[in-house]
Amino acid sequence: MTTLIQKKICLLGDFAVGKTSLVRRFVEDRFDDKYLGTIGVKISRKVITRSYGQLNLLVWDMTGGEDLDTKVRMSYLHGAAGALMVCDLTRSYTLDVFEGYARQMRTLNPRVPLMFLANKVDLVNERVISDEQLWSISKALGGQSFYLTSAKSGESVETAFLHLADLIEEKA
Amino acid sequence: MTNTTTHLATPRLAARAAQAFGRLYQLAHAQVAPDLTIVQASSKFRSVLVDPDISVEGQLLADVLDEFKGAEPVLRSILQGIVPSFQLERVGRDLPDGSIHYLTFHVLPLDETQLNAGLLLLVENATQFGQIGQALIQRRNETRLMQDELTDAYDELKRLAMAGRKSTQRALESAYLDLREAYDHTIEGWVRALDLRDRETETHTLRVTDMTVRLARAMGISKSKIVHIRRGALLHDIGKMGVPDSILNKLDELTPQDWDIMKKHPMYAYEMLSPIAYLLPALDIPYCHHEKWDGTGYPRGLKGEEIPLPARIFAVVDVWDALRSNRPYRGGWPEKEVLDHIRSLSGVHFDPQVVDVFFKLLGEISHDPHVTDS
Repeated sequence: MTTLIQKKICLLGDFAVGKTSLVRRFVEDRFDDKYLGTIGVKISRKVITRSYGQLNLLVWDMTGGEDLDTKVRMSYLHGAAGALMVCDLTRSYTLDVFEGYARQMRTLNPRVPLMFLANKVDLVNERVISDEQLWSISKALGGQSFYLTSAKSGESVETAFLHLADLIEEKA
Repeated sequence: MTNTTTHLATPRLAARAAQAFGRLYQLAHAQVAPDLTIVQASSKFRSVLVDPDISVEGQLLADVLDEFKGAEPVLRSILQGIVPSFQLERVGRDLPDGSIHYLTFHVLPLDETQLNAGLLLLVENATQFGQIGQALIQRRNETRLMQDELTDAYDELKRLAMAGRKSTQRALESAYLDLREAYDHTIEGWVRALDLRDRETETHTLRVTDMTVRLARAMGISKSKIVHIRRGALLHDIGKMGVPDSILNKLDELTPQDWDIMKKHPMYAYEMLSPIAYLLPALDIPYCHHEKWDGTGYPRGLKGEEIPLPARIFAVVDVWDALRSNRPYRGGWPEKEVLDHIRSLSGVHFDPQVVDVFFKLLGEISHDPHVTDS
C-alpha cells in the first residue's frame, strides 16, 4: 500500500502579487482575472505523484502585505515544510517584504526550503524587476531557486510547486 | 453569536470556555486528549468539518482538521504549560454557494492547574468580521494599485506637459481629479464598513465630521488643510477594524485586558493608513484623538501642543457628541451638563483655546436660524 505523505507549504508575498491565482492555477488549473484580496488564510490541497510516492500538499494561501500582525502570521507558519515567496514583476516594492517573511520562516524552521516566484511574467511591457535582482535576493535570503511564473498562462507554475515538493522531500 | 446559553458538552467545558472568554459562547467545540486525539465533540463541531460525515472521536485532531497539520508541537507546548494558548484566526472556507465563511480556532488547556490534562478546542464563527475585513482590505488594495497606475500615468503626462501640450495639461488635471475621487470613495466605503460593525456609533461619524470641520474653520484653519481634517474625522475610529468583535460588541463592562486591546485602535489606524501617501496628512485625528492636553491620553501620551491641532479640535467634538447621544447602556446627557463637563476639562483633557472657540461657535450656531444642528 502506498503511504500518502502530507506536507504543508505556505505562500507569502505582498498584496495582489497573485498568490491566490497561483494556487488556483496549480490546484484547479484555471485563472480568474478578477482581483479578490485574501483575508486571513485559505487552505487548499492537491495530491501529487512523485517518484517517491504520493504527496498531499496542503497549500496555505495567506493575506498579503502587512495586513497580518506577526503573531497571527507566525501561527499560520507553524509546521510548514516549505514556502513559496511571490513578488509581482510589475511592482518593484513587492520585493521589500521578502526579507521579513524569510526571517519568520527560518525562525520556526531554520532548514525550511524557500522558493521565489516572480509572477505576472506575461505582462512583458510592464516588467520592472530584473533577473539580476531576483538572483541577488534569492541568494541573499538562502532561496533554493526562482521561477518566472504566470498564473494567467500557467507558465512554470506547476514546475515551481513540484520543485518545492522535491526539495521538501530531499530535506526530510 | 449568543452569549446567554451554552451548548458545550459538559459543565466542565462550559465553565472553562466561560473562564477563557469572560462569557459563555455558543461555540462548536471539542475536547482533545494529551495524545492529541479527539475525546468528544459537540454536535455543532461537525458543521466546521470539510466532511461532516467522518467519525471524529478517537481520531487525531490534525487528521480531522487540516488547520492543525504541523501545529502538533505547539499543542504539546500548551499541554506542558509552556505556552498558554494557540489561536488560528480567520481561516477561510468555501461554501457551496461560492461565498466564504471564516473560522477562528482557539486551543486552551482543559485545566490550567494541571499539566497534560488535555485541551479544549473552541471554534468561533468569524464570518462577519472576516467579510468586513475583506471588503476593507480589498478597497484599500485596489486604491493602492490605482495609485500606482495613476502615479505612472501622471509622471508620463508631466513629462509630456513639460513639452508644452495643452491637451496633455487637461489630461493631467483630469488624472488628479480621478485620483482624489478614488480616495474619497474608498474612505466612504471604509466608514460604511465600520458603521456596519459598530452600530452604536452609526451616524456619530457624520455628525462629528461636520462639527469638526465647522470648528476647524472657526479656528482659522486653511481650506486646503480642512480637506485632510474632514478625511481624518471620517476615519477617526478606522483602527477599530483591528479590534475583535468579542470586545467591540461586548455587552458587559470591558475588562482591563479588553481595554488594553481597545486602546490599540489608534495604532491600528496608523498602521493601516500610513502606507497610503495620500492619507498621511489625514492621520492626525485617527492616530492622536485619544491624546489628552495634560499628557494622560494614549497611545503616546503626547502633551499640550505636541498633540496635532486637528486631533485637539476633534477630541472636543467627539466627547461633546458622545455625551449628548443615547447609548444602549445610558441616555444622552442634558446639553447643560455636557457643556459644563467640557468646560471642566479645559486645560486637562482639552486644549483651552479650542474649548473657547468651540463655545463661541456653539453660540453662533444657536443664534443662526439658517444653521440646523445635524
